[in-house]
Amino acid sequence: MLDEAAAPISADDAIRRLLRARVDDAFRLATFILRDPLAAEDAVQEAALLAWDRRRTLRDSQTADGWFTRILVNVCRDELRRRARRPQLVALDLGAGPGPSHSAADADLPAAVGRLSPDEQGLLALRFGRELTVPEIAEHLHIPEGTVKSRLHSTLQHLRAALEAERRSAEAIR
Amino acid sequence: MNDDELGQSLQAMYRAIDPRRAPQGLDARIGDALETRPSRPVFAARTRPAFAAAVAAVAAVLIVAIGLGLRPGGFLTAPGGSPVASRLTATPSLTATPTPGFACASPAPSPSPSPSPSACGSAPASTEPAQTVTPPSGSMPPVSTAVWTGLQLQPLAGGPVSVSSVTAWAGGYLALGRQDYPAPTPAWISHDGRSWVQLPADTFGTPALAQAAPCADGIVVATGSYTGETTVWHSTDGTAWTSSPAPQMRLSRDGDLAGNATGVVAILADTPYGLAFSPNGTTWAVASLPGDPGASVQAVTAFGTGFVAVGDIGSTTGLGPAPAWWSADGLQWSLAGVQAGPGNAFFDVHAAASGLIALSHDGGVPGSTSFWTSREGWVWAISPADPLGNVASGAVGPGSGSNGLFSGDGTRLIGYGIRTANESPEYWTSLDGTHWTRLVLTGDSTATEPTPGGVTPFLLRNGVLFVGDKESWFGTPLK
Repeated sequence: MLDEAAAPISADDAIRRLLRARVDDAFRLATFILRDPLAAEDAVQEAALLAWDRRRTLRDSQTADGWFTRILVNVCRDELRRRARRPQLVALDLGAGPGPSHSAADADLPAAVGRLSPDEQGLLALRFGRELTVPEIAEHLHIPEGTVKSRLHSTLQHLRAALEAERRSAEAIR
Repeated sequence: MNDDELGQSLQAMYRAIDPRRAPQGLDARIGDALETRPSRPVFAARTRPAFAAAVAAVAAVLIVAIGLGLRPGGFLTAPGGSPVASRLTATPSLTATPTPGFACASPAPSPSPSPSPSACGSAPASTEPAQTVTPPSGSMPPVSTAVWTGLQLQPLAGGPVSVSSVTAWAGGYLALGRQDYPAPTPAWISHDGRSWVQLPADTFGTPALAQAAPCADGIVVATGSYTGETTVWHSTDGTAWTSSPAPQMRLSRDGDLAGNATGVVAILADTPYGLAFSPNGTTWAVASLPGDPGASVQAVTAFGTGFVAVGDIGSTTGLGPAPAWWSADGLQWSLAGVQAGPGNAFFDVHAAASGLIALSHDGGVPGSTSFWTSREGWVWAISPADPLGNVASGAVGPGSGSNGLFSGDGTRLIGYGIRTANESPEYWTSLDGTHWTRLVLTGDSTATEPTPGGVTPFLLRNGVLFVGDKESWFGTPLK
């Protein structure tokens, strides 16, 4: 009986195995970013096919995880951008004004995250969804740790602003 | 709520939606798809098959020609003889100018818009063989600054559908369709906004993002691939396009690329978001922005022959006035004066003939989303002129609420929104951002029925193009 693990495999087979082995993690990350299981499923399939087409660009198998994560994050980011580019007409309220200030409720958080840029949503999903550390994110995204820190800081600032905007929107409706 | 508390709330939110595992069978489906995925040659990832075929054909012709030329008496043996490469002309009536040469992305700030090709090592521009495109009828209408009071709507046979942008340039209009992977981005051209011709399906490939802008000698389309590369396509006639590599651009919103007779300004992809300028889309130079080095540009627009940009201050200095800049040439930028007050983050700017508008949201400072106006782009002030009011639900601008949807074409502004559910959208126009006129819409009412997200208006010189997913309409101005 052949020992499959010991049998020599081609580089293409190795990529296939990697992509299939990463499906669960990839689906979780795509769900965190897109917050839509169906869109996440599409994104994972799209990223896998894109990675397959780009497999020649993977120079070092040791970095395959980060390589595939970058492709997946890019696919999710582009899906978020496509959503943002489709203008949505919204109801207007001329009488709406600023209301009393209070801390943002957790219930507003999903909508507030949705107001952030695609890059910011991806970063939050990596840090607080996948719960990667700053060095791990830096390694996955191929950017300096300092850049990750500053982006996280500004993203959280923008999130606070978005929470405030959500709170006002909710009050205006009431 | 401090960073730690916010982080804990985020973790709780993500844990609540954590699927733990992929849906059953997803890995098998991916495995099957990979098994049947055709192997593609390495160069195909960056080169379209049609272009590769054309290159092969040209190479074969050259081999034969050189073989014939080297024969005794052949043209390569005769002094002064030279083969003349013929190029298919898409439209005899639209003459293409010679293709610009080397294309280069300059990674470093430069005072000159013409970085040295050797400094960046980019690949040379490639010319796609032009395919035959029947030119649209009609001619480019003159710019009118008359006040519009209404629009007479008529269905437009053969007009563009499912469009993300319409760009006016000296040769007419270019409409870009939405990008839906893996389908090619559709594109249409028109001289008068009424008669449209669709470009060949693979003109711009299958980008993830695409934006267009006029430039000094034609029009450019910047496309972003799914892996982040940016390619700029340049045309002098709207039908024959030349591609060049370019600095990585953001290209996620309409305000990420702007152009006029001076050239093109693009928001770059790296944060903090900066700007690059090119006269024609083939040579780029990074622009130097004064002010806080952590500031990010969030939108740019052409204004006359100059440019105006707005943005926000990053995290390095905390909250403060929203930054805005102006430039006469796209390379040298100056800080604009911004009235102190709520709104530390601009996210949108649009230009008309006699003024500009910008939208901002506040980052922790009490106050509503703000509507700003400026006459020249040098000084900005919050204005009560917003014709639409505050959004009561939903988000329009990235990262913020908004006072409605606005766009401008350098001559005129249009703002639109639905005041209350089940009502038709309102459309307002302005030539300066301060004085607005509500448009009375008559004719085919299908375009104005309350179908959120269904129909988008695009300003033209001689009217408004309303584009839905399956139909389009032309709105003739009533004055």
